This record gives sequence, C-alpha cells and structure tokens, in this order.
Amino acid sequence: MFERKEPDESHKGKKRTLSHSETLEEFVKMDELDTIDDLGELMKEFKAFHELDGVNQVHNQLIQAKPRVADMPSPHELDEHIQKGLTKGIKAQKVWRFRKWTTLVAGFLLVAFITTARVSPAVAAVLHQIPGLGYIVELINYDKGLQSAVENDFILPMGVSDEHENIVFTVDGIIIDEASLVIFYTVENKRGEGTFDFFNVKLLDEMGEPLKEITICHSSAGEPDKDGDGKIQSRINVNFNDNTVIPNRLSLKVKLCEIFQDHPFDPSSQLPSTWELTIPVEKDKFVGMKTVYEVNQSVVIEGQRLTFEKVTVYPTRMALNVFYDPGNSKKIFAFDDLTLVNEEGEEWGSIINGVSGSYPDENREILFFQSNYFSQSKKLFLRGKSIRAMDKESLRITLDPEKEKILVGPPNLVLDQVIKNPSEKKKELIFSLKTNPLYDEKRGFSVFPFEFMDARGNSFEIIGQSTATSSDKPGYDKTLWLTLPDNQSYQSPITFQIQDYPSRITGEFDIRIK
Amino acid sequence: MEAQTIVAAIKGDDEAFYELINLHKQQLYRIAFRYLKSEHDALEAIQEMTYRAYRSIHKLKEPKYFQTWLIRILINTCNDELKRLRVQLPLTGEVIQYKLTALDDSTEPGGRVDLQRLDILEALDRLDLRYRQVIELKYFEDLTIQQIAAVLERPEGTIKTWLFQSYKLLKEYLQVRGDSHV
Repeated sequence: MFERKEPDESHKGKKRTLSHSETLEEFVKMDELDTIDDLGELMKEFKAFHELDGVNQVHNQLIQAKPRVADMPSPHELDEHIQKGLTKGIKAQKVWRFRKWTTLVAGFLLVAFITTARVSPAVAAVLHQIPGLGYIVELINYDKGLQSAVENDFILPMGVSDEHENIVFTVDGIIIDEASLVIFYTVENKRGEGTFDFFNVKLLDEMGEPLKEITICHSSAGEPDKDGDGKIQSRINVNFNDNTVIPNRLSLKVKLCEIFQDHPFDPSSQLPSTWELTIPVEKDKFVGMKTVYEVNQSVVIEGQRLTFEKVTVYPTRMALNVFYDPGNSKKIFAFDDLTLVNEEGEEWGSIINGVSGSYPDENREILFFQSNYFSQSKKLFLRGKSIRAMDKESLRITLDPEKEKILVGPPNLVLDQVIKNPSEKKKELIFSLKTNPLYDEKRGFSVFPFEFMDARGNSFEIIGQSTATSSDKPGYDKTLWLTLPDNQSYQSPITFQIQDYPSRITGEFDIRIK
Repeated sequence: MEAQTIVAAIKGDDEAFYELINLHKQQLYRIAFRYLKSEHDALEAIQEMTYRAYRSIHKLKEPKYFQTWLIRILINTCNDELKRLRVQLPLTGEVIQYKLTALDDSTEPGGRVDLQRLDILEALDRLDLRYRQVIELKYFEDLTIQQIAAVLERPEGTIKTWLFQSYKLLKEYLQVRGDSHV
C-alpha cells in the first residue's frame, strides 16, 4: 500500500538534538507486545480494519523513533529553572488568604505573623488546670482582653461533642458577653487522612431560628494539624450587634468540607452530615457588663475630619465608634497605629485576629480593640498619627484582563501577569505593589473588593484574592493575586473600587476618653 | 519508594516535592520542548509548571495520578505560554490544516515539503498540535489512552479519534512523493 521507510540515519544530524539509542531493540519489543492488539481494536472501532496494515507501519516507525526522542539532552539550566519555580511557590505559600465575610465586616487572620507568646503565666495556669483547654493559650496569646477574661474566670468550660462520619466536633469552652461569643473547638479526625474546613456555621436560638445580625468569623482554611494527632483546635468568633437578642440556649450547627487548598469553595467536597451542639447561655453572668465613654471629639488631619464618638468596653472587646465627615475629599481606609493607652503607658491595640470592625453606614465605622475591661486604668487616651486614605476621585482600578493592562489605577500597582486556567474556568491576575516598609512590612493589602463592574455596568464577583509580603519584581514588595471567573460573561475593561491602599495622611492626635 | 515521596510532597514536604520534579525532569523537559520547539520557552514552562504544581499539590487526592497530574499542569502551562507567544495555529473543529509551523526547523530549503519522503519525526511535526501530542504522549512518554485523556482533559473517545486521525495522516505524509497537497 505504501512504501515503508526505515529510520534513516542520515536524519540524525539534521534534527538538532536527537541521537540513536543502544536500547532500541528492547523498546521495540516491549511496546509492540503492549499495543499491537490495541491498534487492531482501534481500527475496528473506526471501521477501518482494512487499513490496519498501513497504520501498523506507522506504529512501528513511531516505536523505532522513540529512542531518538528519549535521548534528547536537556539543557543544564533546567535545574536552575526548577529551583526558581519552587522558590516562587514557597514564597507564595506565605500568604494571607482573605475570605469573603458577611456583609460589611472585615475579619483578618494574622496569626502567622505573631510568633511571640505573650500569655501571662497566670493565664496559662488557669487554662492548663481545666482539662482540654490548654490549647487555648496559643489562640489568645495575641489578645490581651481575652487573656484577662480568662484570668478573671470568664471562660466557661463546655466539653460538648457531636460525632458523624468519624469526625468528632467538640466545643471545649466559650467566652461570652453582650458584644461577642468566642467558641473554642476541636475537630478530631478519626478517618486518618484529610483536613477539614467549615463549609457553613450557623447559630440558632431555642426556637431553631438563626440569630439575627451577627457576624460569624472563623479561620479561612483549616488550621494545620501541627502535631499530627488528628486534632485541629481553633476558635469561632461571633460578633453580636446592638440589636441581637441573645437566647438562653444556643445551638451551633456546623457543616464541614474537605480542604483542598486553593479550592475553599468547592461544593463537592462538602460532607453530608451536620454537627449540632447545644451551648447553654447563663445571661445573668454577663448582662450589663459594659462601660460606655462618650467622647465626641473631632480631629482634622490633612483636611480630613474624623469624629471619635464613643468607646464601649465589654469583657471580650472594646468598640470605638468613628464618624467620617461626608465632606472629606479622601476616603479613609484604616488607621495604621491607633491605640488606647492608659496613664502608665500600657497599650491596647486593635483586634488582630478576628473581626476588626464593622461599617454601620458609609460614613461610620466601629473599630474593635482588645479589651481592658478587667484592668484598673485611671485614665485612657486614644492615640495615633497615620491613616491610610485616598482621594475619593481616585478610588478606581480599571483593567483589561485580555490585554493584561491596567487602564486606570493608582501609582505603585502593576499588573505582572494573567494566568488563564480554562479547565477550572478562572483566571489569576498577579499584581506587584510598592508599599511603605515603615508601616507595611508585615501587612497584606486587600486592595480589591469582592465585586467588580464590567464595561456594560453589570456587577460580578471575584473568586478570591490573596497577598504575599514579598515580590519578585525589583522595587516592589508585595504580590497580590486576584482570581476572576473566566466564563466570558463580563466584558472588558472591568472596574474595581479600591478597598485599601498604602497611601496615607499623617498628623498626631491624642484624645483623652477617661 | 516514589509513592512515599509523593505522599510526603502532598503533605507539604518541600524536599520531597523537589525530589519528584527532579525525578521526572527529563521527561517534562522533553514534553515541553517538543511542544514549544524552543529551549528558552520550554525552560520557562518548566519553571512555571514547578510553581503551579507546588501551589496545588495538596489538591492531589491520589498519589498514583501524580505523573499524569504533573504532565497536565505542564501542558496547560505550555498552552498558556503559547497563547502568550501568539504563535499557536488555529485548529478549527476536526478540519485539519496542513500548515507548516513557523518554528519548525525541519522545513526543506525553499519551504517545500513535497519533494522528498519524510522521516517519521518530520511527519509528526506536520501534524496539528493535538494530534501530535496524542502520538507523542503515547509513543514517546508511554502514557495509556486513559492517561492521555486525563492529561489533555478530553474524553477517551476523543483521544481515540485523534489517534486514529493521526495514524491516517502520518501514513499519508510518509507516502508523499511529489504531490504537495496530499
């Protein structure tokens, strides 16, 4: 049917990297035995059995060509490139992941960067006395308020469990007041393998109705099982609103999913069971435990007026109500260094692991601080000097993911790369950001909101974002990843409203609140 | 042995991961090079593949699929790389276009391919990308049809169709004598 051509030695020189192999015969034997039947099957399947002979010739030539391909040398730079890729991967692993919280509340989990244990021996002693609560020491070592709550016997041991699918969910203890509820829990995995994250956490009252106007905040990915004992121990923070009615008995309903990192929302990994636990609430033990300081003082920094309205101190946290003048030319993102200080210079910083505040409306913000409820300060001052802010007119980033270009955007932000991943219907945008090392060394920036607008004015949601405190780009020091859906339903360019940015106004203020 | 290393890498052991990439690097480079036809681009693709694989290895459920998984990442990376380089030839449905790739160094002087019979590897280079890949993965990398289907993210039936088409085309190419249109 056609003339068979033997592998031609004369081509050796022409193909740049291929050469003959001594093991040719071995390869031929192994592969022929393996595939010749398949070949007949395949030809039958396509009703072309009559062509088997010809195709078999091709097949043989391919087998004989294998050693020429296999012997291709690889360049010595190969190792270097593998190492570069790995280094980039390891750096990227050091990221903070931001999960979408319930509306208008920012929760930040910065545990990874707080390494020094600051728990007092007294607190540790209290916790180690109660069986099953020892691990809590680590979970509160960056919150002075919770530490002093423990020291003042404000933690309630629980020890209630529910088991399904060989996974035991236990509430070991809680700290509760009118402002918030902290649940310390253990997830014990008896299956041997796998890590689990919350798929869904619900709090219901005695009637089985979900609690209204609360914010539930928990770690965004399962805590690593550090000691390999199959137990993950962490906490859930529940923030109550002024209007929340706290019931006498809480019911915690938890749904879990198996974690595959980078895929926190994959619904298919959800486990069918619901873990349900009842938490009794003795309201008389904490109702009325709060102190309110009316402040109502304004400061003007670089022309921007802000008013500190009041401070409310609960055992679990303090809340500072701030009002931003709607006439301000700049949008205030956040305070860099706002602290409460007493007459002896002792400081209470903002909540760094948990819910850090909320926005009742566009011009108002409630900031949460570690509590000094149990401490006996004579005087209290509110101090700070640096605020992240940006002109309201410049709060826009417009970019074209196809052309890999930022069309309108702030300085110091560049789009490095767009990686398309059609199989998972998403694309990842990688940005580099230049920040101020004085304030931002350990800070991740959640520059982008979770919503964006396309060219037609329709709004869409991003899949996720994360930041790393390093950058491969010279002169830049942060990397931002933004994952967008890639289903072509939105039209470029797309626009984001900036949520946070390393641009600042500065001016020292010191306000006495007590 | 390798299975244990894979399990360690999935659990986050950086050294195990590096060891695995090292173990497969020749094959990976070969695939990347045959795909992209450029040493520089192939190296870039390997670097990006290492990064992507490292970032997602914890998603790998079955250690036995490691190799297939890695090759799939590599091919996706090469796809992206090629898009970036804007040299990919269009493949319109099942219609095969007999085009010479711009990067093909085996083109005969004068750009005519029809004046002499082709060596099997040269014939292969004239196949459209997907057809070529199926053949290369099967014959040069010893992947089964099932594995190729996983790597290229297509049903097995599609892979078989491509394979069948590739055989027929290769047969024709190897037959070519003086007829330029095939």
